[in-house]
Amino acid sequence: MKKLFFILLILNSLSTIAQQKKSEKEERISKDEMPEKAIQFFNEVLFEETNTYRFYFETDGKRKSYETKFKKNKVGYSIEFGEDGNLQDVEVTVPLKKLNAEVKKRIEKFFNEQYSGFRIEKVQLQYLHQQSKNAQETYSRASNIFQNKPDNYEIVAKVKIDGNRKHLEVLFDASGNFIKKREIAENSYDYLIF
Amino acid sequence: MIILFSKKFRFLFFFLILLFGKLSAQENFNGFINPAISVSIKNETPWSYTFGIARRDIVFTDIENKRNFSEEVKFEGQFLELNHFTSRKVGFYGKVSAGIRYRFIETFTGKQNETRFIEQYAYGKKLNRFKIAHRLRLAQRFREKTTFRTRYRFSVEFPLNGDNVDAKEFLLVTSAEGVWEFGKDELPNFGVRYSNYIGYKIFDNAVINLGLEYRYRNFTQNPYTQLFLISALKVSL
Repeated sequence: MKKLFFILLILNSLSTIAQQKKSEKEERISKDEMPEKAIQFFNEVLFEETNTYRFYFETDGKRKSYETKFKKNKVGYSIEFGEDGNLQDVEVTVPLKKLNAEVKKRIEKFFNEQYSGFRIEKVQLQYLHQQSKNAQETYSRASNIFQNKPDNYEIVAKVKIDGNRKHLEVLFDASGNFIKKREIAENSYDYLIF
Repeated sequence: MIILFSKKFRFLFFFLILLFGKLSAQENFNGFINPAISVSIKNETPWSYTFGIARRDIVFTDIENKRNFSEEVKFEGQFLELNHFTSRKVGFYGKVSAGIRYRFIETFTGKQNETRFIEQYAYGKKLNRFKIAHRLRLAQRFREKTTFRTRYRFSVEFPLNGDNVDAKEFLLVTSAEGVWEFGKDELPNFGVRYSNYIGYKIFDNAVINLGLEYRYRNFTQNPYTQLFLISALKVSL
């Protein structure tokens, strides 16, 4: 029993080391578990947009937030609310080819210069709440992605560096200039292939 | 969340019942248990190493035209196995591995112990919520006779909570595999394997699995069926 406890302790401490990388945890919840303000926004603005919604509770380090995800016109929307239910940002997932040509060029240039190879896996347009007058406006900016430039671009990419590969989340501003990056834990497939 | 969960479980149970229904109509059937433990060691280089131990026992042997459970259900050890794989990441999503497996069979059944060399290429990618993995494996089995094996497996993992499988969450894996065996002393034969199992991520780096694997082997000549209760603890350090 002591031995087992010791093994579990080691495993647990190793998983804590792994958590120093980006460690988002998403948990599916029901609509009723969302904060009141977020439910109100949902009922007033989002309800009629589509009929497939998913609700999540997310923890990212110490930060806690709520998310509503849905698809509209084949585009994925992810609307993030704070613990108080205030809208924080709207992220719209689009294919790489839909990006503004100039921005796409700059983003690709960044990856080309920094890494020996890269594969862009996910592109999200970020519309931040602080750039809008109110929550409705943030959403309305995001729901019209071809007319309204996003505030940031969030890119998830696999990159090659020093003969190894890494999984990154990189943030670019509205013009495609690099802001920051962080490493995401690489998905493990070992338990599927051995 | 609970409702969602139970819906997926209902689907799984439905599938398992279908499977059992089919099995009961077949002859030449064995049931096995096959617990396994494996540890993968990774570092900041493209290389990784996996060490594993597994044991297999027959727990059920179907005796034709007889419904005698007390005779049919009995434990018969098959082997104890040690294995090792050295792997290297290739490309953005691929991994090549070379491995060796040693099976202690003689102490259990009196047959010769087996050494097996394995070469494999695997490709794993996340597609939205699902993880998919392709695996192409070649193996050379050295026992009383030498058998060569080529097999391909496709697996999909479904998270049962949210979009990713995080620690303390469940996952569901389903896989299908085709196996082709040939050798100097045997006719080529084909088999298929399907498996479904539930996994639980105890920590970010440890998964336990429990499920069933159904093997329909040598269906071109003398078909026989095997059902495995698979259980595993897989840790990566």
